[in-house]
Amino acid sequence: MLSIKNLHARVEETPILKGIDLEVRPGEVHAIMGPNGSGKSTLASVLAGREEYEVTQGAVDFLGQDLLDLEVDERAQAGVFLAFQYPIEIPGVTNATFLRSSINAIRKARGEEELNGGQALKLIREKMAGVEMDPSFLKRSLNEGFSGGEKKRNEMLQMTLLEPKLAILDETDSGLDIDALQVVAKAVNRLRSPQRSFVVVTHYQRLLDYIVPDFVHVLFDGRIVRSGDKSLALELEERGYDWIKADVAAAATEIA
Amino acid sequence: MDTPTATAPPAGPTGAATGHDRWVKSFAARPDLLQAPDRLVAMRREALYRLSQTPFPTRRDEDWRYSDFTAALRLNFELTDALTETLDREAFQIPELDAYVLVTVDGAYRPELSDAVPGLHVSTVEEAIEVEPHAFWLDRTCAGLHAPSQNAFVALNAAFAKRSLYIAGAKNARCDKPLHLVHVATRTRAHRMVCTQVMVMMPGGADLTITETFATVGQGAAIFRNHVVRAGLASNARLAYRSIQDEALGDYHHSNTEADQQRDSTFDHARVDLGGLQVRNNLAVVHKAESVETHLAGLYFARGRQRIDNQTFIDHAYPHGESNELYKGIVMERGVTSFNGKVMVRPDAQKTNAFQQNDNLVVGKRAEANAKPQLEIFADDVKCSHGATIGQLDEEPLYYLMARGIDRATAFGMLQRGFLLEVLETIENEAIRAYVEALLQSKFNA
Repeated sequence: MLSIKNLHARVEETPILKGIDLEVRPGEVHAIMGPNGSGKSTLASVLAGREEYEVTQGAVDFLGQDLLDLEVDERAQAGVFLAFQYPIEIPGVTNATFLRSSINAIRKARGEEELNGGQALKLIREKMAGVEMDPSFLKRSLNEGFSGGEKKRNEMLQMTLLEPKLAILDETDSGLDIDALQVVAKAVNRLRSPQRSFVVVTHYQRLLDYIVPDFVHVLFDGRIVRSGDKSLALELEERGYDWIKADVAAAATEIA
Repeated sequence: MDTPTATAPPAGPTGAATGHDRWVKSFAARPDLLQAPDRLVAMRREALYRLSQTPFPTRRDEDWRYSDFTAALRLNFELTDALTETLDREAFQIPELDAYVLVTVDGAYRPELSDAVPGLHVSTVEEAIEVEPHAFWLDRTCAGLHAPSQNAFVALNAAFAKRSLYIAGAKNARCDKPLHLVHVATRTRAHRMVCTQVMVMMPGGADLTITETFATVGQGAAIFRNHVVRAGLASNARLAYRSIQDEALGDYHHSNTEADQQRDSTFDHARVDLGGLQVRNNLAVVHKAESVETHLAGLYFARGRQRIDNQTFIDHAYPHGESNELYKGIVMERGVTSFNGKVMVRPDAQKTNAFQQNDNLVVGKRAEANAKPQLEIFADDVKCSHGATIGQLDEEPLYYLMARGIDRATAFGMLQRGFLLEVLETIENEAIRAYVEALLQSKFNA
């Protein structure tokens, strides 16, 4: 599904990703963990196509397509979904209008018929219940004045509606209370299928109690320095990130 | 009184290119303008004389820094009589709008193309100026068009406007449907100036909603629309006046709107400017008594080489007046927009509430938006606020929408519409709002 090879990226002159290799097969859930500043969010943004990140080296293949060659909207149309760490507030654009435009953009790309206003609204209302969102949020401007939890629910609503092939969650759990966290986990677990993959970027192990990953990777200083199964996450929870940093430093000394 | 002369004013930086003799010749070529009630003919002559004393404004004039009709005036716009006889008015109607449609063609009101409006007096100025109570108001109002304080375009309009539309509301009555005025201009191979006037007299307690649109028939050179609106609101009258300007991109548009308000009256004006190469709108509202309410809303969109310039003036001269002004616009490519909002609160106008806001969205490096709020407050017990913003479209919202599969152009359109929504919402009639939204979408996608 997703194959990342030797990916390097920088912001302005600062290199952030320094050679990422990652294989995600259909149906798998990969957790990307790591201390602050390790490049987790950069990886998520580069995959979604954010412009300020410049890929300097490496390749990303998504279902046989060169993902880096696609525009942001084309990536979404191809089936990549990024749940934002900080969803953007857009005054003057109602949530309902936004959701319908998005659903229809994706449907069009898939060669499906677009939904009319009534059909879209019915579908949206149906899925809103699943993420415990009140229908009154439809009339409001997109994310404007939403609490942190409400914004994340709205992200999960979008993910549910767009049914992506690959969903990337960028620290969706940050700042959430346990109820909201469970809403996020439920949304992901409901969508889990042999054809759909997830990359869950998180700082804390907590979310992974609810979304059980097949693989856990530790990102440090722009590289994946350790990979394992879910027990790695538990180990990190117990021991923190310092031992990883120490290990990496030791390895570096050895090479030198 | 001095008589109009055929000699050009002395050459100078202002007005030189547009020699007055040209207007005199145009006037002389129009004996039909003398076939009118004496009072009106006298006023036309007076206006022509005033024109000889009034140079056209240029960018050297402080209030005209962002408007320039000098080049346009060199185009020798002809001031010929009405040309089009028949037309299919269906083509100019607003879809789904339940309204009485009134049509003017090349400035002249055409009853046979218009709906009858029960309860209202609708006629040409020529007819109304000889009948009381209309004559009294029209006399003063038409005379005001050639006052020394008026600019040359207004004087020109007063000299050449013919069979203009006059509407009188019904006392203490609300018109059961809104009016839709369609101003049709005939395009010819020669450049043409079309002078239109709308005179609206609102007696006490009258309530009326008017929306005007502009259209052209025929092919050919540019049209210069010289438009004048005068409204008088007596006590407790309410007039909503909407102007939707979507002229062809090579055309010129100058409008001059003035409203006088008596006690407890409400003037609610919204204007939309999407078309025209050079557009200038002068708007002045004068409070003539206490407890008057004024709402002004403006929406503009300029791209290509369009220039759209809005000048507004609200004169709070009496206590307990209220004014709300909201103008929002988008400018892109090499467009230039300007908003100059003057609000005067005179010493007697205590307890005035005046609010003004102008927000601009500038897209691209060469587009230009200018904002100039001008509050002059001479009373001490008032609430006045103003704000002006000029900003650029953030990349973040665009990225967010695109990350949900929405293509760049559509996402951009959604954000632009979102920016203008606050003004769109001031148009409460759904059909008109849908019409404006459709025009906007076509501008976004152009």
